[in-house]
This record gives sequence, C-alpha cells and structure tokens, in this order.
Amino acid sequence: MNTAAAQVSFIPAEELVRESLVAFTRGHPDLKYVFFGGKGGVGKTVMAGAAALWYARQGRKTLLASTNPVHSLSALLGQNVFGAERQVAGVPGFYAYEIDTADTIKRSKDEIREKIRWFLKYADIPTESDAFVETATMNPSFEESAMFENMINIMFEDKYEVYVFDTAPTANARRLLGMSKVYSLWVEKMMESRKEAQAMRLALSFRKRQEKDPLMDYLVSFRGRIGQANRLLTDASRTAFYFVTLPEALPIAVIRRFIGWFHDFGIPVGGVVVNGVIDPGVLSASTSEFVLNRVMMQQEYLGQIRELFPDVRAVIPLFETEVQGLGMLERVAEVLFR
Amino acid sequence: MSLAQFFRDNPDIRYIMFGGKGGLGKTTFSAAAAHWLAERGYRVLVFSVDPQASLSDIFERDIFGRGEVEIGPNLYACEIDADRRIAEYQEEVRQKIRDMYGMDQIPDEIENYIRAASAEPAMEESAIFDQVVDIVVKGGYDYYIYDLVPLGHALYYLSMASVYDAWITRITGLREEMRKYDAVVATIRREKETEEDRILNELIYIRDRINKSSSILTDPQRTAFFFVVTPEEMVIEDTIKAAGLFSKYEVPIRGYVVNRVVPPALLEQDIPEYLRNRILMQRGNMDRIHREFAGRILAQVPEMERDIRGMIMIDKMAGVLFGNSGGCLE
Repeated sequence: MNTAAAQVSFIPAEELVRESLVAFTRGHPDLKYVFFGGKGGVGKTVMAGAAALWYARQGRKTLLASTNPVHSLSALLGQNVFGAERQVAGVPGFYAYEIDTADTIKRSKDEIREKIRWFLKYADIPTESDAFVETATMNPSFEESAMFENMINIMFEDKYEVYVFDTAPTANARRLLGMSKVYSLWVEKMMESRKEAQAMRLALSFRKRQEKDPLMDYLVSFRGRIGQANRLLTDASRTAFYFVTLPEALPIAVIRRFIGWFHDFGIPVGGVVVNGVIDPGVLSASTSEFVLNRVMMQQEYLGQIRELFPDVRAVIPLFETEVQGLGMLERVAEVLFR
Repeated sequence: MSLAQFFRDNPDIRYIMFGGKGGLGKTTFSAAAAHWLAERGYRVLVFSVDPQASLSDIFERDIFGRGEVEIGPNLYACEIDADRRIAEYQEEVRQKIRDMYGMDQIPDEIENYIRAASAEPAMEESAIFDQVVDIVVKGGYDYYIYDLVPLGHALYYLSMASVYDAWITRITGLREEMRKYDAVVATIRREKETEEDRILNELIYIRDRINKSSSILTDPQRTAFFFVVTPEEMVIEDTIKAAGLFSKYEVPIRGYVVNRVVPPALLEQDIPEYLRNRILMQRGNMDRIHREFAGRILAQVPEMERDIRGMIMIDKMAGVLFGNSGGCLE
C-alpha cells in the first residue's frame, strides 16, 4: 500500500451504520410510503428502484412512482413505464409508473373547468366560464398542485402494499409534503366564506329552506382528503423519507439542510444512505495516484458523515458498472438491505 | 471553439447560464466562470436561483440571504433567501393595511389570511423570481451568472415568465374593462385617480418587470446558455430532450460543456475495475456526444481527483474550463 494511504485509518461501514435499513424496516412493519431525496446526481432513482425491487421480492405488491418532471425510471428498468402503472417484466408484484405531467395538468384543468361551470350555474351567474378557468389554471402554482394531487390520488387508491416515490431532485419534496398543510389552511378559509355566503343566501331567500350546496360538499370532501394525506405523510409508522448522499461536500451540505427542514415540518426522516463509496480494499502499492486521492477524499468526508448523521442506514459501494437494468438493481438492493 | 474564445467573440453577452441535470457540475462551472471573468477585470455577480443553493458551500462562505457578498476582487455572489423575502413581503402587506385603515394591530382574521397566502406553493419561486428581476434591473455588473436549478425545474422557471405574463395580461384586461365603469363613478365623484387605476398601474408595473426578465432569458445578443453534459447514456438522453424543450422557449443555447471525463490515460495505470469500466463506457458515450453536439462543444473537463471547493480548487477548475491558454478577453 502507498505510504500516504497507509497513514489513514479507513472507516468501516459498520462504524457509520448503527442501525441498518433492514433493522429499521423491521422496526417499522407498517411502513408503506417511502421517499428518496437528496441533491441531483447522488443516485436517488437507483435507490428508489432498488428499494421497490426489494419490497416486491419480499412478496409485497409495490409501486415505484416518479413525480420528477424529467423521468428516468424507464431508462433504469430498461422498459417503458411512462404514463401508466405497468408491471415490471420478470418481477411479480413490482409495478412502476412515470407520471405524465402534461396529462395530469390537462385532467386537472378539465376538472376545474367542470367545477367552475357548475359553480357559476349554481350561483346563477350568467357568465362564460372560460375566463375564470384560464385565470385559475394559468396560476404558476397550478402545475405543482396538480402533481401533488396526483401523488395523493395514487396513495388513496390503495392498490399496493408499498409505495416508493422517486421525487423531484430539488427542495420541492419538502414543499410537496408541506403543501398538504397549506391546502388545509386554504380550504378552511374557503369553507368559512362559503358558509357565510350560504347564510346570506338563506337570509335573503323567500323560501327559508336550506338548499343543497355542491360546492360546499366538494370542499368538505377535499378537506377530508387533505387531512388524510397530511396524516399519512406525517405518520412515522407509515412514512419514511430517506436522504441519499455521496461522500462529497456539496451533497452532504444539501441533505443537512433538508433534514433540518423536514424536522421543522414534522415529516418523518428515515435516515441517510451513503452512495458511491470506493472500497479502500482496492488500494495497493501500485494503485494510481488518481484513485488514491479520491479514496482519501472520500474517507475524509465519511469521517464528517460519521459526525453529522447518527442515522446512516446503508453504505453503497461504487459498482464496477453503471446501475441500469434489474440485474444491477438486484445487487444494489442486496447491499441497501444488508 | 473554446469558452474563452466564445467570450472574446461575443463581447455583448451579459447573462450566462449553465443548465443541466442535477449533480453534473452547474454550480462548479458557474463559480469557475465567475472567477475567471472577475480575474480579467470584469465586475461579476454569480447568483443562485435554486432554493437549495450550493454557492455558500463551494465558496466556503456563508452568503445565504446576505445579499450580494464580495468574494474577491470584482467577484460577488448571492444566494437568495426566499423565506426572508416572503417575510418581508408579508410585513409590507401588514404595513399597507395598518396605514390604510389606521390600525395599530392586524386583526387575527387578516393575519391568518396573510399567512395562508404566503404559504401558497408558488410563493417561494415567485419570491426568488422577483429578487432575480430586482438584481438584473438594478444593474451594476458586467456579467451576471445564473446558477440554475436542475433541468425540469429550470424549464419551470422559464415557462413561469410566459405564464405570469399571460396571467397578468388576462387580469389587466379584466381590470381595464372594469375601469370603464369605474371612471364614470370617478367622474361623478370628481376623483382624479381611481382605485382601479392604482391596481392597474401596479399590475402593469409587475408585467413590465416580468417582460424585462423574460426578454433577457431569450435575448441571443446578451444571453448565453450552456448545457453541462457528462459521458453517460442517461445524461445524454436527458440533455437532448431538454435542449429540445429549451429551444421551444427560444433560450439561446450557445454550446455544451462536457464534464467528468475520466482521463483515458489512466487505463495504463493500476486502477480498479469500476474505473476501467467507466473509461470504456465513456469512450462510446463520448463518440455519441461528439456526434450529437458536433461543433458546439466548448470545453471538455476531466474528472478531478477530488470535489471542487474553495478558491484554490475553483481557480484550478477555471483554468481547465477556459483552457490555460485563455488569456485576456480583449
């Protein structure tokens, strides 16, 4: 071994992983909604794919879903899973789904158009609804809300025993989940004003008879759904959010911030997965300087990870080839749930 | 052509953007380009529009939410704190209410409403977007370097400009119509500026700001957008897809920078299997990159021995990115 390499003491995986992902999963038998987050390029999609495969191999009907605007599940699995839930060839109980953003948005738009028409008719407002629809759906937050709705819908259909989400690569995951809180606030607000309007209508009406209010019914059911989503997403026995990092400064800094935010939001953090670790065992006296330097850098950051994250669940080695296809995913799953 | 040559040949370029998937090196290149231009005597601002920005980490300085921070001679960096921006905005609204109604305290009812409105999902993006407009409209720098969010969300930002524009045009239209009636009332009351006027003016002001910033994003005279790509199959696929989408928004894509190319010379040395495979895999993918992006590759950056962080490494990276023969711009 090189003299420089001989001077550092390498950090064994056992020292980082105090409770493994397998142990954590056993300790949370009701875990049903699993998310992977972290900086771009750290391997979130691969981890989500491996976790979903593992759950399916355990005999649990599993859906791997991507809400990412730029999908990579099809490329990862080597089969087209865009636009619909499809069974992954060769693995019983394993389904994958890349959500079609354009389609989701179109459907939400149609739904809103329907609701607005219905409302205008109900309220006896003789106006063309298109202008209202346009104003409501052109709102920049509309797309994000639609994707969130879609995610909740998938969860509520409850066709699977486990859901693994490959989420968007930015801070949006936090907001995506935090939004359920926001929605409740909005709906409360709308219901209040709806009640007022109803009371006014009743007061002004000759018949003094309470009429059926479809909009109010909708709000009540919407509030129910949001409340349910909120309960699911903040329930530590059913939901876990894992953070993936590489032994490098930037990805570590990003997940440190993430974890802080998630604690603030009361969203359950399942722990940290360290990816892309080069096995120091490959080093020998003749090892290239380039490799040696990378290993040394990684060891330095693994030291940091040991200090910063007491909840590391797995350390994944840098494989000799890119992870693509079920065969490679199988290998990742093996290490992830070792 | 090299990146250095590009800047020499295009002296009117003011706005520089590096785009691409997450984890490819956008922040690194933004920092390196900013440093390189600043060293050549230009006043440069590099700022991040990503809510999970990494400029603080790469410059090893806590700049988050501190405005435009001087990093070195001519070099300034900025990480926008959206939450703070939102809080400031809320306070502004409260102040307006206090002034308008002569209140000392905001009623709970209204306070709840202000909070709910600020928690609206697009608020964070809007806040950042707004600050970017502020920075750009204010001027004062020779170069502005946008450290962009990953692909999908960068598209979101780009589309947001046109979405906002359409939205406000729509609302302005409705308002203008209402003003007709309002003007009659105002004439009767002999008021000069109606309430509707004030709202309309505010909307027009907002729209002008948005137009200004979206016109920058699509102005080939002043803006250069570079894609970062790595010799990996999935990354190449995504880049081609994204480049198509960006073209639709008329973003002036001026070239590609290839990052993380493992030096093939390492094949001669004692290296582990993963690295050997990677070099061989990259070989095929490099061919593909040269075919797909022929004539538009401005730099090829090797995989470094360690991650880029701190001015010494940024300087080293700038040397590689611009080629050591880069020299002066003039």
